[in-house]
Amino acid sequence: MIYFDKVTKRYDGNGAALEDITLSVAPKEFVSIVGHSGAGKTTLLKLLLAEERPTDGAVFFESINVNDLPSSALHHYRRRIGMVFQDFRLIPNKTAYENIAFAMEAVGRTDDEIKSDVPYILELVNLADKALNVITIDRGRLVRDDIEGKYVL
Amino acid sequence: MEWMLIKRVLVGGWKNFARSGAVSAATVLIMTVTLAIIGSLIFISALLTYTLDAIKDKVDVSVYFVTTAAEADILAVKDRLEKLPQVKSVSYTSAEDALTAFKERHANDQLTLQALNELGGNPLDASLSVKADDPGEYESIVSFLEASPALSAGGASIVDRINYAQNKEVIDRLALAIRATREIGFAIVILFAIASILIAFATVRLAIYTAKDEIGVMRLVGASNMYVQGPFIITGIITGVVAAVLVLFLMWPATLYAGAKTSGWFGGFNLASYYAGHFALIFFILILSGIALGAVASVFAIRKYLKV
Repeated sequence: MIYFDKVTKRYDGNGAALEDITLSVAPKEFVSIVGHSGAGKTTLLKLLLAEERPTDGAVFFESINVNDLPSSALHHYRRRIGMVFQDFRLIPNKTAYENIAFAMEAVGRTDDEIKSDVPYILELVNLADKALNVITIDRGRLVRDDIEGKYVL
Repeated sequence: MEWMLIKRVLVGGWKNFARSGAVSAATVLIMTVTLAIIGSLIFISALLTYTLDAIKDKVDVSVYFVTTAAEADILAVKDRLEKLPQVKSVSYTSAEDALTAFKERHANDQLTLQALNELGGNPLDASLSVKADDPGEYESIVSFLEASPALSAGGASIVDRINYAQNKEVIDRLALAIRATREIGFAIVILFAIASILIAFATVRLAIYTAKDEIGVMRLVGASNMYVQGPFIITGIITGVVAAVLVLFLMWPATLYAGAKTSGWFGGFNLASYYAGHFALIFFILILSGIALGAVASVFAIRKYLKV
């Protein structure tokens, strides 16, 4: 369960990106958050991922107060959340295979799991023949690779 | 699982180094210059020690004995002096040897030799030349002689004079010069080490900057600090080791050339001979310095990117 408890986020010198937000997402619930540019959608996700800390209020993930997590525990917390980044965050000098495997290595998956899962995922999205191609700037392809990476995680 | 993490960190570090091409080359070049400075300081320190030892060797305190002093009594004084821990060596010159040496020095000075003949006998004193381990110790040796004077069987002192007072100013200045040179040398080493670390840090930070997207993704998907930081530290260490090996390789022709040109300047100190004779020590110092420089620079350079 995800719970935002009266969360406010202000960035230095600017107004509030989020003001007194309270929302909850139940387990297995599918929620879409829509809004104009600057509404605070990205900030909401950054607070959930602990990429930013709230100015006021608290963010809870399965009863864990994300604010209270020490830096040393953040990586364990983030492994429990799958994220498709707005700007894709694919690594240009790595192949499609390496981009997917890279994230799996970062979270400690074994070599055997990587060798088994990555080709399967590439096959699933019809990119098996492009496994050794270095990532290009085609936005459509980038989105697909980004989603693949998060699917595997 | 730990071994898997270590293996990935090592492989990741090597891949970072190998794939970075020009950035790795630039970092190696900067560290090579830095380590070459450290290497030069090793040689300068050795040369300084050699030169100062040569100067120290020329300084001594001479104890002159009365012409009536018995050789046995003089040798007893020699024996007592040799037992002192601060005394490096004591050499005895008999009155006869002193006369022979005097005649040889003035072989072309007939007037002096004639005057010596007219005096008759041997007017020169037997003497002991005392060398100390450290010029600062001469005062204590003279104090020892004055506190327990050497006496003849009849109870009279057999010591005519000690030339310490005349040499004291030179000895004191030498001791001061040695101390000051060592302190300045140490300060220069520290200064260069700090400058080296700063330069290496700036270069490594530039190399890490090119991987900031990668680091950002690693942090956000849940990579541990060790997984993020480790490969860059390994890259820093590899860079340091490559630079150290390069310096060791370049030092050989450099010291051969410089040694041949300069050995006459420093009273026989040859750079190439020193390098060959102390290769293991120089290798050890440079490799360790390269590893430390690379690792420390990488740790500081990547800290900024671990804050997400």
